[in-house]
Amino acid sequence: MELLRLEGLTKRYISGTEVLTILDKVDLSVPAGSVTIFTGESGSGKSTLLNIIGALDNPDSGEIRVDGIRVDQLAEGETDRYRSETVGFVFQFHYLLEGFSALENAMLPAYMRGLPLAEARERARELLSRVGLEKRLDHTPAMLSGGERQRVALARALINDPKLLLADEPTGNLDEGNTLRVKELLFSLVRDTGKTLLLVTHESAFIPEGDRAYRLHAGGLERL
Amino acid sequence: MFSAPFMIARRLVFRRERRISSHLKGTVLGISLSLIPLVLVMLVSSGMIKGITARFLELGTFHLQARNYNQEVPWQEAADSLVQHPEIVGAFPVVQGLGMLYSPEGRVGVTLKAFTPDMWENDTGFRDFMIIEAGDFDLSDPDGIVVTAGVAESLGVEVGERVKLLTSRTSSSGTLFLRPSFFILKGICSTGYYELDALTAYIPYSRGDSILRGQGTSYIGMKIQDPFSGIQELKGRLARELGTDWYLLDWQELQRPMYSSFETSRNLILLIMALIVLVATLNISATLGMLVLENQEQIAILKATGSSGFQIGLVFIIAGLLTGLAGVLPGLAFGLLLSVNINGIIRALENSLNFTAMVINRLSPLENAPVSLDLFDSSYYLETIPVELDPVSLWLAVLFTLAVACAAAIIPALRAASVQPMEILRRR
Repeated sequence: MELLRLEGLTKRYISGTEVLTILDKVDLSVPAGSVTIFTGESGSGKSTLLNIIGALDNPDSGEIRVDGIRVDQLAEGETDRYRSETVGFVFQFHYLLEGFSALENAMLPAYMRGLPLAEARERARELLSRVGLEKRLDHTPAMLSGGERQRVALARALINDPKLLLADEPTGNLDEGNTLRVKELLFSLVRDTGKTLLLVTHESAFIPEGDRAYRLHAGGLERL
Repeated sequence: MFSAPFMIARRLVFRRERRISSHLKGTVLGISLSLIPLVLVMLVSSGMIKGITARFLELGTFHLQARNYNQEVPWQEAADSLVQHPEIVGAFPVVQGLGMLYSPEGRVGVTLKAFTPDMWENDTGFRDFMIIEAGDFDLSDPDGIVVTAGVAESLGVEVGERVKLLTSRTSSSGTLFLRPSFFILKGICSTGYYELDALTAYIPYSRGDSILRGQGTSYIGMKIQDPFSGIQELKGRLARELGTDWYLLDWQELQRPMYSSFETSRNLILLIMALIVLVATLNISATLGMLVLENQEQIAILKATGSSGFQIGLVFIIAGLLTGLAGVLPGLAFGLLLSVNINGIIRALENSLNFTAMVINRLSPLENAPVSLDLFDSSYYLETIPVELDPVSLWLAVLFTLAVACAAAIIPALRAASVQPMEILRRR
């Protein structure tokens, strides 16, 4: 069953007098429960593609359908709900809230969504245990290693049980050991929970793990 | 809806270590410091006004006066009849006039008040506020007189000494002549308020009626159960019962300019203090603005993970409220602490200033150095500053500060709510 469909997705940026077409009439169909990997050179539009799918950015034209939702036509309040309920983000940088514990960071999206505190805590505790941080629940980001922070970010992305997980270079800031650990966790969690993963990466080691891989080049998608 | 934004706001204001965010410390301190004088002025001025009002009510004007266009009425009988009303706790015939008291040491013009001898026993309000400094408040002897401390001091007399009272009288032919009367000083009293203390002498009603006949004012002074509420209704009822020869004056009518002046002065001072609190509290806007700038990434990630602009805005409104609260609580506590100890603090300040002045004077004597310094001259106010803990006013001060804190947080809240996550996250 198809979860994501892009049709004629176009995104341009204006740089001075120059118009840069980052995404040029991109078409894509992603089945539910699959892992799709996007690779490409810096500035090729990988992150832009993910941001548009995640409703963080707007396309200039084209259609985006996620689980039947026309993302490109969402109103302000609907965008919040879409980001809260349908998608989960993992960025290259963890973006954890300073001064909040790992547990609080992981539970916040659920708590903000209106889940009772106890339930949000329990769900966050469970997810943090699954990423191996059950003994780091009360640690603040400053007390965690880079890999641990990214694992908390992964738990946060999954807290609202999204159908679509968007991961933008999730290991880009990690050393080799942590990259391997986060990668294993990410794929095992996605496979176990049946989530659909769109992963942007430079790491060629990730490509074989995906169900399909694309290279973004000159505004278009090339199947690898 | 509020619990999650509250949790984030609480952490923004009070860091994990339960310390106030360094950005907000100055604002919190400013609110606290500005609230202290507001609370102090509010409580002390309320206490002063109530203290002075109560003294005037009990010792000066009575709560209600019944006067008659004809001075030749059986005052005692009328008073006995009025006191039958359940709301009236005391009714006393009074004659009031002016006179000049003489002693070998000096002379002083006084307001004479002629009371019945049982007044001291039957008027508890009068007894509660009147301090007997020497002798007794004894008007049972027709030759007895009781004067206030200021009068006794001007005359240089002590209890048991003789004083001469000079009053004026107009004959039937219109000639004004002076009439001397002699009294034995039975007591020296004090009301604790300069204006009442300075120029009053109390004489027996029988003598007053005779001495001041035709020159003074006769009335029935009444004390009622609650002079602050229901007095107008009682006044109207009594006016109907007494008939058209009588007219009634309540305490507010008798001293209206004084009470209005007190209230106006108090309200003006409070307004100025409230403006200081307002300025201090508006500082929240600037500091929360800094907090928004500093936490843009955190705001962006909250929005990226589904938090709405309204929720983010709410975080900062609550942060403003918590900052206000963090300032209000110590400000209120210190204000209350200073207020209830204001008399001791003034005495301690006076003592330390006088001690310092004495040391300086010993080391390098000045020719016209003051003997002692009074920061708060009780001659012109009450002997001690009464503090009136008025919960309604305190709540209003707290609510005002918190409302301003919330209002001041609106601009930073709107700024936070409008953060575009993509713009912020793209920067890294």
